[in-house]
Amino acid sequence: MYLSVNQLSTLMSILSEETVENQTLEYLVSQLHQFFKREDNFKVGCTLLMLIQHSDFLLNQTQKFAAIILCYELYRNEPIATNPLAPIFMHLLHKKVGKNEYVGDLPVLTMPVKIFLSNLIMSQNSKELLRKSAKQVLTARSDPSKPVVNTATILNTIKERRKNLPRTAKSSLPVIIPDPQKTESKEGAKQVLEMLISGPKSYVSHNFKPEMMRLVPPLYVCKEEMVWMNMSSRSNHQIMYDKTMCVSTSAATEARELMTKALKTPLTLQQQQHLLAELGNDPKLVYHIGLTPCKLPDLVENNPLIAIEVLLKLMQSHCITDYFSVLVNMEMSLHSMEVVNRLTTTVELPTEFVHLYISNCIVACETIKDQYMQNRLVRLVCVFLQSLIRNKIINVQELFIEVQAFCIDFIQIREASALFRLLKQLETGDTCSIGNIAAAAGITPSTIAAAKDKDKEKIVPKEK
Amino acid sequence: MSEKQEPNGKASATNITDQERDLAQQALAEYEKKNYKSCLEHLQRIEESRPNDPKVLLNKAIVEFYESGLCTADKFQKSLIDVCKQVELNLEQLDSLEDVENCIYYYNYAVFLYHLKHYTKALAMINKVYSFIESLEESLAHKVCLLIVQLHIDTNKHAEALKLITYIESQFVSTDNATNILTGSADQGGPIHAETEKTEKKANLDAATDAFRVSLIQYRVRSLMELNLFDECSQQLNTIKEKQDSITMFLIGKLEYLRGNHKEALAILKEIPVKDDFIETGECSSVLINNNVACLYHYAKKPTLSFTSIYKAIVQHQKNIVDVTKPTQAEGSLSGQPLHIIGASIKTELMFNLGISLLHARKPEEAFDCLIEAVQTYHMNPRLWLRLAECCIMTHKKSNDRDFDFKKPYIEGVVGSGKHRKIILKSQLFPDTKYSCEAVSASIPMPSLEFGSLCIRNAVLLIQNDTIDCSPSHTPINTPHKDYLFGCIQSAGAYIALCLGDPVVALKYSQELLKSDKINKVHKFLGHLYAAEALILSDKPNEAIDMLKESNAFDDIEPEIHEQLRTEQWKPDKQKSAKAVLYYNLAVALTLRGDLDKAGELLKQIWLSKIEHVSVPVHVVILALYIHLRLGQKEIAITLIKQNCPQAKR
Repeated sequence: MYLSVNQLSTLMSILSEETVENQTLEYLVSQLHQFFKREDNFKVGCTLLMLIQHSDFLLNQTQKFAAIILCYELYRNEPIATNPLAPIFMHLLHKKVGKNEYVGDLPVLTMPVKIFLSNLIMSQNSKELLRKSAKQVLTARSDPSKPVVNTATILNTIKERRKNLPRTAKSSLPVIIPDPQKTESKEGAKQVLEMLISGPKSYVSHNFKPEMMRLVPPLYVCKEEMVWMNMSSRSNHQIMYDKTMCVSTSAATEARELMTKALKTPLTLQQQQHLLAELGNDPKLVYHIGLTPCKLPDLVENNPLIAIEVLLKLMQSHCITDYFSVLVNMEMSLHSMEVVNRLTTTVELPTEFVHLYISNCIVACETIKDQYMQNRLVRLVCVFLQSLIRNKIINVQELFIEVQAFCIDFIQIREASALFRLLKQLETGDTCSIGNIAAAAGITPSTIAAAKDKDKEKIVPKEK
Repeated sequence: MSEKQEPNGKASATNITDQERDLAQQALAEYEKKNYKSCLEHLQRIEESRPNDPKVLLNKAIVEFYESGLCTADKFQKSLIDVCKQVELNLEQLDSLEDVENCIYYYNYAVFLYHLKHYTKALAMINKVYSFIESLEESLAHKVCLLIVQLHIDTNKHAEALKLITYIESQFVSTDNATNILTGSADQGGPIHAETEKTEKKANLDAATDAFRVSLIQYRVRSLMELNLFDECSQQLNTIKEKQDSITMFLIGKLEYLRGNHKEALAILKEIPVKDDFIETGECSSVLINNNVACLYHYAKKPTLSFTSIYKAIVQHQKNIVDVTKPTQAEGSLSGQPLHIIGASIKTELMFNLGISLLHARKPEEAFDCLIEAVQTYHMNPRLWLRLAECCIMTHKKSNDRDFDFKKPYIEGVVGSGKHRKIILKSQLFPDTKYSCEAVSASIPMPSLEFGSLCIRNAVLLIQNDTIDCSPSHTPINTPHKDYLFGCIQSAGAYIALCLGDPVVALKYSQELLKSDKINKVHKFLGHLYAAEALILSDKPNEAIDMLKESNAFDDIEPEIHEQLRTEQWKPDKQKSAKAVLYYNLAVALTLRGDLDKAGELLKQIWLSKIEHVSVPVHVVILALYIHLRLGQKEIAITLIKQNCPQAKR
C-alpha cells in the first residue's frame, strides 16, 4: 500500500474544488504539512504527479495548479535541483526539456501562472506569493511588467544532474497508461484512484523500462554422466583364517633349525645335503626358513654352497634384489667372491650389481693395509675378473678405465700383468686369442678353487 | 627380523602335539563349514595348551568376528593389533613386515581397511604383502592378488592394475604352469600327502583356479573400460561370456551402455538373475539393475521413468541396509553393521543419478537436494558443481519458453472504465533480476542464485586442473569435452551474475566465452548477449551496441542448437529465432542510447520474421509500446497493446 485510503482522501480533500476555490495557497500548504509527515513526501509527490499527468482526476484547472504548487512546497527546504519532482516544473515552464521525453497529459499553463511559478521557484521569500488563493493567480491579468523569470540556470543544473544518472535509471515510464473511453464510467474517480494508489499493488509506484532479454543457458549435455553400477565383488575380499596354525611339518621345522645353525657355523656335509634335499622337495620352503636379506652375509661366510643354492631358489622372488644388494655390499671375502662367481655363471645377474661388486673389490684391494693380504686379494680379484671376461659375463669396455688403472697399480703381481695384457688384447680387437692368453696365464676353472684352498686360512678369519 | 621373535616361532614349531594338531584340523573343518561356535570351542582347547601361540590367538579373533556376523569390527581391530604386538609387529609400520609368516596379519588388516574404504592405506599394505607373493600359500596368494588388483582399480591406477593382472596370470593361471605351481608341492612332496588327497586337492584347485582366472579377467575388463579401450574389453569379455555370471553380465551391459547401444544393454540387464544375498555380499542385484535401467531411460529422454526407477533402487538399498544393521552402537563406531556392509553403501552414487535425472525432469529443487548430498563425497568434480548451479538457475527460471509465448498475458491488466480507464503494464515483464536483501548467507546450501554463484566459482577453479575429475561418472577419453564444459560453466556464471545484479562479474565470465575460439556456437551467442547486457547495466550502451552489431555467433549456430535439442527443448531453437533475440537486445540498447528510430526499424524486422512463424521474444511488443510512448505517439501505442493483448481490449 502506497498511501492509505484515509491519507488519499485527506489529500483529495485538501485539493477539493471547494477548498482550492476559497482558501489561500498558504492554507493548503499548511494543511499538507499538518497531515503528512516528512517521510511520506515522496509518496505524496508521486501521487500528486499522477493527478497532474492524468486529465480525469482533477477536472478543474485551479485544482491542477494547486497540485503543482503543493509539489513544489513538498521539497521547498531543499535546493530546487535536488527536488525529485523538479523536472516537472521545467516541463511546465519550458515545454520541451529533452527530446522524446514522455510527459503524459501535462496541462498547458497560462502566462500568469507561468510567471507566478517562475517567481515562486526563483524568489528567496515565497511567503508573500502564497498569500493568494489559487483562483486569484489563475484569474490574474497578465502583467507585462512582471515577465517570466529566467529559470535557465536551474534547468541546466537539473540537466547536469540527470546526465550523471545511468541510462537504465532515467529511462523508466509509469506503468499506468490512460485509455479514456467515451462510454460512461462505472466507477467514480475516487474509486479508481484508490485502486491505483491504495490497492495491494499500488501501481503508481511502479514504472517500466526497456529490458534486455536474458536467456537461460541450456543444460550441460553429457553422454556418460549417469553412473552405471557394476557388482563390485566386495565379497572376494574376506578376513582369512590362518590355516597354518599348528600344522608346521617336521621337515620345515628341521630345515628352519638347520638354517639357523648354518648362519653361525659351517654345517657338516651330511647336514648340508639334508638341508638342500628338503629345499629341493618343497619349492616354497625356502621362504619359510627365516632367511632375510640382512642374514645373508652370515650364511655366505659360513656356508657358501648353501647360500648359492638358496639364492638360486629365490631368483623368482620379488625380494631377490634386496639379497643381491646385501651380497655386493658385504665385506669382500673369498666366499662372497665365490658366491658371486657361481651366480654369474648360472644365472643372468643385473649388470649394475656385477659392476658394483667389481668396483667394491677394487676399492677393497686399494685400501687394505697388510701387504701380504693385499697381494692375495689382488690375485684373487684378477683371477675373478679374467673369469668374468672369459665367460663374457661383463663387457670390459664399460669398466675399462677402472680395471686398467687397477692393473697398472699392481703390475708387479703376475696375475695383474696377465689381466693387463688381456685388456690390451681386447682393445686391439684380437678377440680370438683371448682364450689363448687366458690359457697362457694359467687360468682354468680349477685356478680359483686352488687359490681358494691356499688362501683359506689366511683370508677367512676376519677382524670383527 | 628380530632375534627376540625366534623363541616364539620356535616354540610354535617344535612343541605341537598330535592332539593339538587334531584339534587344529577339526577347528579348520568347522570353520570351513561355517560352524563358528564349535570351531571356537576347539580353538579354546588349543589355547589352553598354547596360550601364547599368535596363530591361535589370531584365528580365535577371526572366528569370534565371524560368529558375530562380522558386526564387531572395533573389537576385531583391537584383537588384531594385540596379536601383532605379541609378535612385535606394528601394523601401521610396513617395515616391520619381514617374515613371510606374518603376511596373514597384514593381509587381514588390508582387507579390513579396504572394507572401510581406506583404499590408499590398504594399497600400501597389500603392496608390501605382495612382495612376498611367491612364498605365500596358494589360496592366500590368490586372495592377495585379487585384493591388490581391486585396490589399484579403486584408486584409479588402471594401467598398473593391467600390468599386475598380466603378471599374475603368467605366474598363477597360465594353464600347465599354473597347475604345476599350485600342485607342485603335492607332486613332489610325496612323504607329506597321501595319493587320494592329491587328486582331490587337484580337482578343488582347478575349480578355484578357474574362479580366480575369471575374476582376473573381470578386473581386467574393468580397467580396460576405464581406459576407454572398448575393443579390448569385448575381446576379454568374449572369453568368459558363456559363464553367464552376474558380474560379467553387468560388465557386458556397461560396455554396451558406454558404446551407446542402449537397447542391447537393456536386453542384457533383463537377463541378469535377481538374487537377494545382500547380507552376505553387500550387494543387491535388483538395486543395481534398477539404477542401470534408469541410466538407459535417462538417455532415452524419459526422465520421469528414469527417476522413478532410481528412486525404487534407493528405497530398496536403504531398506537393505537398515535390515542388516543391529542396534549395538555401544561397542564403537564401526560396530553394528557387518564389515562388508560398512563400505558397501552406494547411496551417494544413487543420489547422484537421482539428482541428474530429476534435473532433466525439470524438478530442480528436488534435484538440488540429491546432488548436494553427492557433492559431499565428489567435491572435486567440476561437472557436479555445474549441475548444482544449473539447479539454482532452473529454480530461478524454469526455461526460456515463456519468453516466446505470446499467449501468456504480458500486461498487468486494466483498471477503471469509461473516462477513467487505465491500462496497467508490468513493471518487469518477467522477474528475472533478483537483488538479494535477505540476511541469509550465500553459502547455505539451497537452490538460490547466491549459492549457485559459489558453485560456479568452485567449478571454475576445478576445471583449471589438468585432468578433470568426473567421478563417480565414467571418464571419457578426450578433452574437446573440456572446452564444452568450460563454455557451460562460464555461461552459467554470467547468467547468475546478471540475475544477481553484478554486471562486473557477468562481464568477466562472458568475456571468457568470447575469448576462446574452441567454444560451442550456442555459448558464443550467449556470451555476446550476456556481455552486452552487462555493458548496458554498467551504462556503456555504445560498447554494448558494437558488441551486438558485430556478433556473428549465430551464423552456423543451427547444428549446435540441434545437438542441444536432442536432450532438452531449449529455446531459441532456430537460427532465425536466435537472431531475433539478438536484434531485440540490440534494439533495447539503441533505445537506451536514444536512437529510437533505429530501434523501431529493428523491431519491425523482428516483427516481420514473426509473421514467418519464427519464435520471437514477447518483449518486442512492450519495447514498441515504450518507443511510441517516448515519441509521444500515445494513440499508436495503445492500439498496439490492444492488437496484441486481448486483455487490454476488454
